[in-house]
Amino acid sequence: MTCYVLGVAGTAKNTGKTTVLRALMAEAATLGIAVGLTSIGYDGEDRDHVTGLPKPRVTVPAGTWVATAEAGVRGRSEFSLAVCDAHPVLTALGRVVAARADRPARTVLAGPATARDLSHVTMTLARLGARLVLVDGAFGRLAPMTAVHGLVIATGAARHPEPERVARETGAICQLLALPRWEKWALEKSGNLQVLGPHGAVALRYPALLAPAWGEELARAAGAVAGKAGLATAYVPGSVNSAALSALRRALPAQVKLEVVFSHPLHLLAAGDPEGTAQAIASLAQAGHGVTVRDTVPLLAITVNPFYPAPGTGGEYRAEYVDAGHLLSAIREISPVLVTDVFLDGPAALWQQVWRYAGTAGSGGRAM
Amino acid sequence: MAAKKVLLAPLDPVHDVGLKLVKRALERAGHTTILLQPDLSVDEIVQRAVEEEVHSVLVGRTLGYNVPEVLARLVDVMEAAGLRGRVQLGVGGMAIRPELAAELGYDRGFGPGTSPEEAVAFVEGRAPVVAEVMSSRDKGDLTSGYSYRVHDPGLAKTLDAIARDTIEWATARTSPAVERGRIRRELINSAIALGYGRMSPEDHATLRQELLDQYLGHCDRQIQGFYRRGERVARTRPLSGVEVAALEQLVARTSGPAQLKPLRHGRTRPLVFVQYGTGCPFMDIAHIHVAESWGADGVVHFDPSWAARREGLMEGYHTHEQDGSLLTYENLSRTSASRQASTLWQVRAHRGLNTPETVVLAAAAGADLTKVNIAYGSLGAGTDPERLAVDGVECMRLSAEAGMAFDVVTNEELCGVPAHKAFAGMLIGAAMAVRLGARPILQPLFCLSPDVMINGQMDDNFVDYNAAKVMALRRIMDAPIWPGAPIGFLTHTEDRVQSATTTALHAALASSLDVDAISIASTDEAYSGGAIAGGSRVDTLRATAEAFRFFGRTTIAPSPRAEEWAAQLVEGVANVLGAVLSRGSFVAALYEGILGSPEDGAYPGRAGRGTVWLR
Repeated sequence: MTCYVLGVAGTAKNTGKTTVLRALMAEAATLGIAVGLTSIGYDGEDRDHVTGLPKPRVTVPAGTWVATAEAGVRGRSEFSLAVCDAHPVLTALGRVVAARADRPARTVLAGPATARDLSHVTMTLARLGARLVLVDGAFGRLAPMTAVHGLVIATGAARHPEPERVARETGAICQLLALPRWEKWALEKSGNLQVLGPHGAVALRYPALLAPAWGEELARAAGAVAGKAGLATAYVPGSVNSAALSALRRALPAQVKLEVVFSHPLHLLAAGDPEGTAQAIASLAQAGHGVTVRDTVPLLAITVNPFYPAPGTGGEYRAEYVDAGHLLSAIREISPVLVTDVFLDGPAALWQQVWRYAGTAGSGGRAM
Repeated sequence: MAAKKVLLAPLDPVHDVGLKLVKRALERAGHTTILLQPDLSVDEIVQRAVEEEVHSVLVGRTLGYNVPEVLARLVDVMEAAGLRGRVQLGVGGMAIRPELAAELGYDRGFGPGTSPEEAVAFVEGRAPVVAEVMSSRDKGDLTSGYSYRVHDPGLAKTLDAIARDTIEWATARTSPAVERGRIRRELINSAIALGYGRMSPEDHATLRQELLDQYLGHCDRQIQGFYRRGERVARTRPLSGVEVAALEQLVARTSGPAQLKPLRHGRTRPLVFVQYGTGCPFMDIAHIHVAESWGADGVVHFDPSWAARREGLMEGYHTHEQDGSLLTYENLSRTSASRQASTLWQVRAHRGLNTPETVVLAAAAGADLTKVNIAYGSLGAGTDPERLAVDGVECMRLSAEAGMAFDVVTNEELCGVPAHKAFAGMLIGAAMAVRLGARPILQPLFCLSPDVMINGQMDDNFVDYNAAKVMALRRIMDAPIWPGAPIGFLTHTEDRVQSATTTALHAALASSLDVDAISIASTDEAYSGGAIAGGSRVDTLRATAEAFRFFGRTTIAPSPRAEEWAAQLVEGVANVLGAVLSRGSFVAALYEGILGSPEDGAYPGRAGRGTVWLR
């Protein structure tokens, strides 16, 4: 049995992740596909914790497996609890358990916050029979989504109420997610920065590139190992910011051509500045350096939401909307993948895209 | 526990006080801390976490526009930097709730009311020993350490003589309630014998029928109809089988350890009691649970006022459509089973026609306390003095046997009886109890009584006269004091803030006077016109906790008027007791107004008149 794990990540809170999840669950239910559901944060509450505005509820069809904090499902007659995973996964709300909805049931989702824990949880859901596991994102957090097989990114006016700005940023996200994979030799997933060249290998003290000084140190190390050929390869397992990348580029000796391998495009996005990071990477490439990623995740679609919570003067928020058509067309112009507003377009196109990847034709799902 | 290295990051230009408190607690526990300057960027914080190779990162931040996104990004960068597997991540702040912490991806959220100890426990990977919340507490004993000595030898002699004569008089008599109490005890004992296999079902059935026949011989027609023909008593309904099963489930769910918020600060007393009696066994359990969770040390069962005028009590699980929860062994036993082991539980038997049986049921169900007062029950609560004197002495005997302490309340003050007369009645009751081997608790009113309103003792403040009452009682007898019931009565209004405040201030005064216990009302108790809301219970418990926190171990100094009034009260009590002794009969004194007259507002009750006979 294969199980496909789809992440629905947002660029910000209130970008429509829950609406997308509900639409996908409903489509899967009509086809009788066993769905597993979890979150890398918390979802399903009546009102947003931050803005106080109403939120769409999470109601799962009968047969859905839910992985959430135990307190949310224990003792509820709608759910049957499953044996917990051998690797206990803890959240700020307690231990995560799997529970099957025996009838349609409203639930809150409080799931694993890290990629490692998310892997444990999705494997558990797969073992319990889920063919499609949907992973709800939280805020603009993307890093735990390295554990999914495919990604839908929800964006919209909640990220920024200016459609052109959201479009530019979405373009940068697409660029980073399209970075080519490193194919030459195997690299450890974690650890500190490494630089290899004809004159040897250097391990730096850091896992990430978060400070200009770290970028400069990497440049010096590259210069030291590059030798006469001027070739070196650097592996950056952790997160990166544009300032450090720019410092790296500026500090690299002119004769050195560096192949920079990042662990995952979602680690590049963790800095929260897709445009700046994409620009810094483009500058590296323009300077003749190579940029690849150790691993990646297919971007299946982008969903957009014109809603945004507008802050009032008294600390309260009110619901506002940008022009939905304008937002949609602005993002469609720059995106190489499906762009849809599930509310306007309906879920069919998104579902087809997801299920195509998820393996009805045997292409996307992975045995777990 | 190996010392940990903790990075404290205030993601806020100014609000890093919480983190400084945590820093102090962590260092006191032997850990190393690095407190960053406020307003560093997310990347700079993660950079320091990497460089310093810390075990934990604790972030403090007040929420504002876009702040949650910044907090979420810190989690993401930590994850992307490969730190999440080995570095714990916590967030604290006034707007942080566990749900928000989970949504942001933090391992733990520290919201308002979090103690530094919780953060230390988080860093050390253990469950917190939380000062603000306890999983258990010791059950208090209100009577320990008291000698019940009457300080003035003359007054001691007077009280003893009245008590001796009254007990002797009552012991020679009996009443339907005394007989029912005896039979109820046999009914319960036979059920226990059946349960333990010491009696066959057939023998039990025969004995039960015999006892029930005797019992019903002492009941009124309504109660006879209930037992003989299954007729419902008005406004009551038996629980269905499904409801009883659900009640059992609720008991199972609520009887385990709970988080109990302590009320007191720096003192071990007063213990704080609240009353319940919604009529519904389910709601009673819920209300008790709320009260326990918010710090109440004890709960007081209120039964329907009409039941005091019925001869006989029902059996089984029953709900009541109005205020007051029915006194049956089944109802009481479920209430008892659901409460926390440390929660003191009082079932009142201070007025009405079923007091001995109430004490029997209370003892069988495991109550810690009951309430007995012949004077108040006769003069302010409608029960015939002769009847209640006979029943009350039996109640005291049964309480002594069961080891249940009881308070002697002076609610006749609410009718208008001056405090010195009410105190005299209370002290007679206490002296009788002591002679019978029971443990009485003096319960003076701590309120704006009609007598006080008329005579102006509280025109200036509520401190002096309330303090004078406690001072006077202490001068007379070495006995526990439990002002009530509730404190601040008649100072409450419909305004919840006002009600909570006046309760809290009276509680602070009681604490300052170092009394043993207090009873507090909910903020809607005097004006609810029906069921009490759970939230209004929390109002006064929280307000009381704040008052205790505010005053700590300091004391409130009454003015010299308190001293004058205390002396007047002692003298007044002595005069009334002298008059009772001269009259030669406590019961006659009740009828004749020596302990509270119609002019005062007290009328001898009529329920149960003419139902006493010589043994």
